[in-house]
Amino acid sequence: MAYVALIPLLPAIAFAVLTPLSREMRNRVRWLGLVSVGGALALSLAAFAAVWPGGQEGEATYRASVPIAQVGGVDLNLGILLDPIAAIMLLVITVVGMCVQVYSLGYMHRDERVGWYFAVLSLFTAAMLALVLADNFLMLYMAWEVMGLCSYLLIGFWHEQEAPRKASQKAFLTTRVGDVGFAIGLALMYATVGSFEYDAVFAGVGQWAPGVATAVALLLLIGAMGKSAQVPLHVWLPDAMAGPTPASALIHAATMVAAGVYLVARALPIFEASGVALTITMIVGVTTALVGGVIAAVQHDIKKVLAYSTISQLGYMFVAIGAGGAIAGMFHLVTHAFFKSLLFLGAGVIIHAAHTQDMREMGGLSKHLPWTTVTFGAGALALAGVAPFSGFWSKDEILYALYTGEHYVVLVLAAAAAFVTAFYVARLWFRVFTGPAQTEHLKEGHAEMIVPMVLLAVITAAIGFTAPGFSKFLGHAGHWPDPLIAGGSTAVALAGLALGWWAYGRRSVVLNTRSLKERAGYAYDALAKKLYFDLTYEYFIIRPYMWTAEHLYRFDQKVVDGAVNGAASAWNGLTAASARFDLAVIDGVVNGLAGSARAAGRTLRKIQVGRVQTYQRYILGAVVLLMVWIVVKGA
Amino acid sequence: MLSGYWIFAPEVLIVAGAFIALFGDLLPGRDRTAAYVGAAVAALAAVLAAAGGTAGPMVFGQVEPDEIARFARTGIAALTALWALWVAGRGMPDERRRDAVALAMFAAGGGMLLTMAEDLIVMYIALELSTMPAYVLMGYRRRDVPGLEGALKYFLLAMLTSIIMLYGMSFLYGISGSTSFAELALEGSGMLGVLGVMLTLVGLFAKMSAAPFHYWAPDAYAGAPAVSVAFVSTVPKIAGIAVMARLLHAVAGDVGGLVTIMAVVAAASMLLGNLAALPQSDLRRLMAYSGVAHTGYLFMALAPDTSAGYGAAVFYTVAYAVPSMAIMLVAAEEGSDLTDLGKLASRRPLAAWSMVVWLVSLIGIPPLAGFFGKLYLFGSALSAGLVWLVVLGVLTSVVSAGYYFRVVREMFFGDEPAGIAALEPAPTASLALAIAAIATVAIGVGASPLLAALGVALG
Repeated sequence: MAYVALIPLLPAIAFAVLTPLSREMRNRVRWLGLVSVGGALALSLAAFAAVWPGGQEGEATYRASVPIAQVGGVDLNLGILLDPIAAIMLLVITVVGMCVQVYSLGYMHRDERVGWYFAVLSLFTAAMLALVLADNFLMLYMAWEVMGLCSYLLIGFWHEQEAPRKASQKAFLTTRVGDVGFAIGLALMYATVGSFEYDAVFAGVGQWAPGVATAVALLLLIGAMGKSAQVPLHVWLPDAMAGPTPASALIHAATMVAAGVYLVARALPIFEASGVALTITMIVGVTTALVGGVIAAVQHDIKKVLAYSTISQLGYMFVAIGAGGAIAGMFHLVTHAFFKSLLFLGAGVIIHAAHTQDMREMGGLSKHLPWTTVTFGAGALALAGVAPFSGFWSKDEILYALYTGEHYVVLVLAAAAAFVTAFYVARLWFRVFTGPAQTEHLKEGHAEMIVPMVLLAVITAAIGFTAPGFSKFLGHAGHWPDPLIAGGSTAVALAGLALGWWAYGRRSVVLNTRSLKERAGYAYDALAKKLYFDLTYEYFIIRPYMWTAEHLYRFDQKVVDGAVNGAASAWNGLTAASARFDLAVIDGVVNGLAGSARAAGRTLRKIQVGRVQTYQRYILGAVVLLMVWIVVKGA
Repeated sequence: MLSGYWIFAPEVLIVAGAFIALFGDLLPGRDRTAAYVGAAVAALAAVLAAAGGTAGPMVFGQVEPDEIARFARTGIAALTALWALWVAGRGMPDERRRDAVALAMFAAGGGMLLTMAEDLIVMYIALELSTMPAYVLMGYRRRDVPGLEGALKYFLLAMLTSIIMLYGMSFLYGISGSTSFAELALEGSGMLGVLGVMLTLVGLFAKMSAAPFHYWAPDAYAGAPAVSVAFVSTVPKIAGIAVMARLLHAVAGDVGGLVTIMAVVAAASMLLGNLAALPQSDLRRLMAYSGVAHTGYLFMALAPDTSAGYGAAVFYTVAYAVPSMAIMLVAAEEGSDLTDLGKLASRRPLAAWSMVVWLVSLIGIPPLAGFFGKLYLFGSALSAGLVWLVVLGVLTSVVSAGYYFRVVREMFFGDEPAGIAALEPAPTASLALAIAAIATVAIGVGASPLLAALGVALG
């Protein structure tokens, strides 16, 4: 069973091999990432087979750990733990990861830094796989941070442009707010238990001092809210759509953003010990589900619609866990991973074909993109919650958990969110696929883009039927949908779709919703401004910060530099023999550099700059090799 | 013997001398006087450092002027004096002398502090203090584009490794809760401890241009004026080796695996340095790779954590630095391309024969300094059981004879370079070179008493 350790290692190795190569070489061997994820997929299947038929909650099929350090007399270990929940997550990550890598071959083939893209994608996959395999919170946190880095790199992949650069910073900083909470939570946990291991932490959770469990749970929740884009830390996810679309599919729809949900599900004993933390989780979730849903309904950018939809669906997962239906939450995580990545991949084809992301400039795509239409349709119906597609089943379980938990208010709110979801799905569908075509030369995607979408569509259509089996696999009683809940949720979904059709599907009103907007007035305005979240941060955090920074800078300029300059002028007087007192050499370097830029010309400069980077890469490579050696020897 | 804080008199003198040189405008005779003052002050500092004796931990245990530090401080100050003396005679190419002398003395001051460092923070600051001026020295000709590029490369790569070093130091502090070498409690810290030490060492590896962290050296040397290379390639190395000896001595008992890391880096440096030096036609580049190779020899003695090894390494850095600096100073006079040295023997027989002495010392032929240095290096590695490393060292030494003798051949049998103007006589510069030649012999002859003093230093 030691091969389980290879699952995250394979993509990590691919990253390690790709990174030090030159750009041309890296581009040429970009298939390496694909091969490594393929290997991880095969091993994940083997791991899944080993865990099968599951059913034992909290019991590991395989575990192993290596000590990495001893700090203050306590061992810190890197350990892996293979249990049913990890086995399922492994499969989800590797299947979606594989689909995205294959799809990216087609989507990114003309990008000149495609090799680096695949390298980062592989590193991300490795980190996410390590996260779900971790047997302690410290390793989970480490993988969590690596994912944050990859997310940053991929959002800012086209860093020559302003928007991706800004978006990557926003994503990094916003999730950092959550991560600080997470880190404090970990420190508090360590101070209480003296260990990061799941078993050790959960064993004594009942005996923790009153309030400690709540504090730890809420701090972990803050981390999860940052990563999973929950209100009010959700603002980074829509902006993150500036990155390449397949990367959004993998990271910002299927896997990384679900890591927060996974964290809460893993740490569930702490949340249960607290009780109130569960309620807060539910409230955060339902708020997010509604806010994300209604904002998605007014977005015009197709990727932003999907981004807000992701926020909303992640909120759904939190609701489920908060209501005591962790299994339902995890099942929604799984189904959502498949259908939302499918929708993103479809959106990628649409954007390629229509050369725009604005849905108002699209229309009539169904005639030209048959494969995309069918597969996207499956994803859209799943998202709307229409049987037999996967989203129906998982949403039904969540509503059922709310119903049996007697959280009726939340149940109504969740149903409202489901209604809005169906509405914006219909809005998206009718705007993009029906009506008159607004662009010419619409072309279907390459085969390597279509095949993964078909695979995901098949999974989306079929996976719902595993709902009872899923529960049993995780050690809970499974059940088929309750007629009352299922009927109700289907009715809500159909009503939402119908409203969407009424507003956008009828030929007569297409492209003319102005009257509606005018009547809605203030409410529409608030929604279009994303409920003022971004503006609030802009005015109350970013602007004051920039203002302070600016004034501190001016202070620095005037007072500190003034003092230095004053001293310098004093010297000028003193050293009358010399015409002026200058630090000859520093000046020289600066002037010389300018001269170098002028004289050497563009090409030469590029080569020179490249060289330093190559050297730096060699140095870092040597350091990494030494580190690997230390780890191998230590293990 | 200097007692109490007087023991730091050499450092204070050197820094004071640097300021005097910086404002050399105000002195009669201006630029040249500044260099003379620098040379005199540095020489005085060397005498004081040698005569000043040793002491236990001082300044709250942050520094310890022990035997190793005493030897290294003397070496640094003396070589700085030698260099300043040469600069007084020949000057810097196209630029003023005084800033160069001041920068060199600041670097020397930092280096001398570094040799005494017993604390991570002191070590880091002293290391930066000794390297910052070196960046400027390497780009000293401000209108020379390739030189500035080399200096910039040096700067960027040194910064990267400094950052890695700080990262490693943060681990060491995190584990032990102290930055003092004496209080580094790494025992049983497992992988993290080794990792922290390794990352900390990387900064020093790069500054010592050990393979595979040496990339800056050939490019930076080839772009810089030879006279700057003479200083930057030698003096900081003495300080670097001394502080590495200290750091390794402090941690080697607690963390395993350092022997292997040091031995691997040593082997890589010896192989890469000596092989890459073979095809070079530019003396600066050649000496850059020769420096890489010598760092390999030095690390061989540092690897096994024995006081004899540390002593041998510090001794050999000085034994390497003197001829190496002198060769670069001759290159500064004659030109850096190998063909520029053609028929040097008939033009300047004394200089040519001095070159022979230095080159032969670098190869390691008795009775010169290099021979005894290498003897002790190999001996200490051998007694620690690193047989394969010693075999590799001996073999690569033989290889090195190939490229050093190419220089000799060029000087005696090469073609006279066309159109060279006769060099103006500069007695001071010649004096500096003569001192270097005599020192190379003297360090060899006086090796055993010097080493006897050093060998017990870290016992």
